[in-house]
Amino acid sequence: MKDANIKRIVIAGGGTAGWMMAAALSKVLGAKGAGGAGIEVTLVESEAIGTVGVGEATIPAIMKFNAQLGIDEHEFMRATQATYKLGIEFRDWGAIGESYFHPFGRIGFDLEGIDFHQFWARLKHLGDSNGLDAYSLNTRAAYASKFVRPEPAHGQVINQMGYAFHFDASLYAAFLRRFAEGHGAHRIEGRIEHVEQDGETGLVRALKLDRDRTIEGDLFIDCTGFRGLLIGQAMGADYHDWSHWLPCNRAVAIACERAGDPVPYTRSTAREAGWQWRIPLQHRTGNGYVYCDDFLTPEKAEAVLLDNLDGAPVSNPNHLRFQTGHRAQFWAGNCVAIGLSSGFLEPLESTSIHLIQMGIAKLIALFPGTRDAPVERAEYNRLMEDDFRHVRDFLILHYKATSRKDAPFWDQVRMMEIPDTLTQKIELLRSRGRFFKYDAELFDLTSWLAVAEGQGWGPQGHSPAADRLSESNVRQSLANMRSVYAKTIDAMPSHQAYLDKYCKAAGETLRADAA
Amino acid sequence: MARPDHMRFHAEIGLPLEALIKSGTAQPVLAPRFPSASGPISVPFAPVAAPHEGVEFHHFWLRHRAIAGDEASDLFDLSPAIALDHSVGAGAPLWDAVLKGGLAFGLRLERGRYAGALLQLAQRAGALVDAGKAGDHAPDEHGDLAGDLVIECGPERSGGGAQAEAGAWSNGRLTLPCTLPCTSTLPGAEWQVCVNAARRFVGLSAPLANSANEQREYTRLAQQEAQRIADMDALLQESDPLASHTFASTHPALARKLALFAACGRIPTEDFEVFTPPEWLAAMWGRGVRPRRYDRMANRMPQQQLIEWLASLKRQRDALTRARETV
Repeated sequence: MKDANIKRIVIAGGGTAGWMMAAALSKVLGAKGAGGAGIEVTLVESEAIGTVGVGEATIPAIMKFNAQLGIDEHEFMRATQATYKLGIEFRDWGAIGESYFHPFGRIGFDLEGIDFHQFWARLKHLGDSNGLDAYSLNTRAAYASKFVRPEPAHGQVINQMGYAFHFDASLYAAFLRRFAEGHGAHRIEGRIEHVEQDGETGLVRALKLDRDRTIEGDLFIDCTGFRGLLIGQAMGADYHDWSHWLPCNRAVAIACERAGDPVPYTRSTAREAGWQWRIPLQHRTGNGYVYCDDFLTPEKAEAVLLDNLDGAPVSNPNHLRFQTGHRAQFWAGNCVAIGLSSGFLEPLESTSIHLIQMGIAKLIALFPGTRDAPVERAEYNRLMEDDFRHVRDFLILHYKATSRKDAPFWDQVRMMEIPDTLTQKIELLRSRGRFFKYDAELFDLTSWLAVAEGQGWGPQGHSPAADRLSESNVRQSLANMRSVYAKTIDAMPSHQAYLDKYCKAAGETLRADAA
Repeated sequence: MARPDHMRFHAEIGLPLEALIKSGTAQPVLAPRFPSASGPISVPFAPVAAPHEGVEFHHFWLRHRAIAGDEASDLFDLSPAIALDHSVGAGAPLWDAVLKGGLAFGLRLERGRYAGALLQLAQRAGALVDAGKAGDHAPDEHGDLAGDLVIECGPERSGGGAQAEAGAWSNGRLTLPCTLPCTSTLPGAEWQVCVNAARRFVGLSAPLANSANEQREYTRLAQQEAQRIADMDALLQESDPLASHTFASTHPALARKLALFAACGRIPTEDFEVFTPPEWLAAMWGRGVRPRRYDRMANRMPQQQLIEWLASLKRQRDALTRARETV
């Protein structure tokens, strides 16, 4: 096979991953893109094969993806029945009956260059009862069901907020499909029957479809989901299993009617053998139970889920099996796996779409000049493994930092050995609230602190630097912050009112209103 | 020499830049000369030009060279930092150009005066600086100072092997990696590791009897930083950096950097880098490492726009050169 420049990209599989990739590549590299880099983007999918819909909840990093594509936020929200998301509420994770909130955005204001939480920890150990929630605009807004989109003119308090979205994954894929096709991507309806490889190099040469069709390409993107039709079955990339740290291996999902106005946060409720998600959309609520089948049968999981819905079911239960971990090679030969074909981490922190986004961004940054690009491939694999590992460690924290002793599942995860790097990180955080980000890891101090504190593993001391200010000064400063946050929340519109005004998924009249 | 981080550090400790320059303690420097096996290399702190739509400038330059061939200026011939270096002293007319242009700059320090200024600051903050008058802190019969924690900054060390060389905190002793041989030869490295060590220690300060976690973390961070400095030193000192296969085992991060840059012009960054991507670019370029291709994203700019951009940069550089010559 001649090692020519990449001119044709073939994406195998649609769904969220496939259409995110098609949208990004057609925008950045497609023939209709600025300057016309001139790469042909083709996506093959079959309507006969369902999609998993990897995630309906996101994290703030998705804003960057939307911005790079030039997507109008309100238009995107209307098209996908989306709601805003200010964070995640965790119920029964540290102990049954307890709950906490993992907010996006910042918590408190630093004082004299010293992290806010050091002063907060100082007061806490002096008996102050105000939790982290009192200093998080996101948390307070979420529980008050308030929302306003931060704008530069809003000042520094509102601009502490971070936000993301809940959306209907199938509508999101459809929205991106329109975008990608508008930027020159081609869609082919068909079932992939065979992956044709070069006899000498092993590189993928073409996809053989039903009705004797052949789709040739230079670079292939595997978005075929858990099957990993190209990366696993054809290229033989092994799978690194992490289920000894994250033992959940099944999920059952179902949508139900919405009950009241949608709240601007995801809820994760710990259950006997895993956890249940609740994702509020404009038109319905998404629900699911992620669990480990060593401790619970699918029938029991479905029954528990059905017993814990806000409204009547509007879809049939969808049972999924998965294995936590990732491909040893995310990019093998001239095939790059994106989405579920590349690996899976349970959606406890809504990272599924983010990991797709990371894969796309890294592929564009390291876009190969030729079909076989060993150096770029090695760097891509190294960076993606780092991304997966960092998310994995944060997820493990949720299971390890529990005092639940009510079920064998929780005994197992509470007692499990964890990676050394995570042990060091947790110990630093627990002793005096110290936190250092490793490499380009996704979750920052706010996230680690919120989860650790929420599950009873928060700082047991504080930095001596926080003793520089007098106790009365610290108490006054923190009281002022609480007051400012309370006034800011009062002035915000309700989440539903904001949706109604700008993002309501309805007819053209409302679209015109929003404009 | 102080690296561009001096702006933040001096603001943190209350040492005004203007006073340092007016007193002759510091002189701005935009492109220090790094020693290398192939002779000194000018390494500007600032990039030659800003990225465009997320694509680093050197990719556009590489594309332009593919169009213009030998008629293209060398990449670093376009660097305003190199054009202005040595011309931006206190009160110099071109100083304004540096500030207005937002060019990153370091400070060439008059060592004795700078140490004096820091000493005064420390004394004002309550530090005891004269061991002979320090009462309980007087040296013992071996000449060692008594204290709960001893911070070793000088070249004379009490041992500790490779870990101490890279900087470590253990057993009541905290060593700075500033006496690693390469920190004294790489401009600004010694200053930066001292500043980083101070910040790191402040960030991790803890009761001495209960600081094992903090000590481990300090040491981990300091050692990673030392590796990044050693990478730069190896790149500069290796007689033929591309032909060498020794980097793969001795400096794996450097080996990755070189391989990726040579393959596609990208400069991966590691944790705890001391040197910025523009500095790595200048160092690799100076050592003769060239990418085999540029980022395809650079093709998104229309060719005419690219030619005009490069011509404009050259005009700006020529104007700076003329202005420098008339000062």
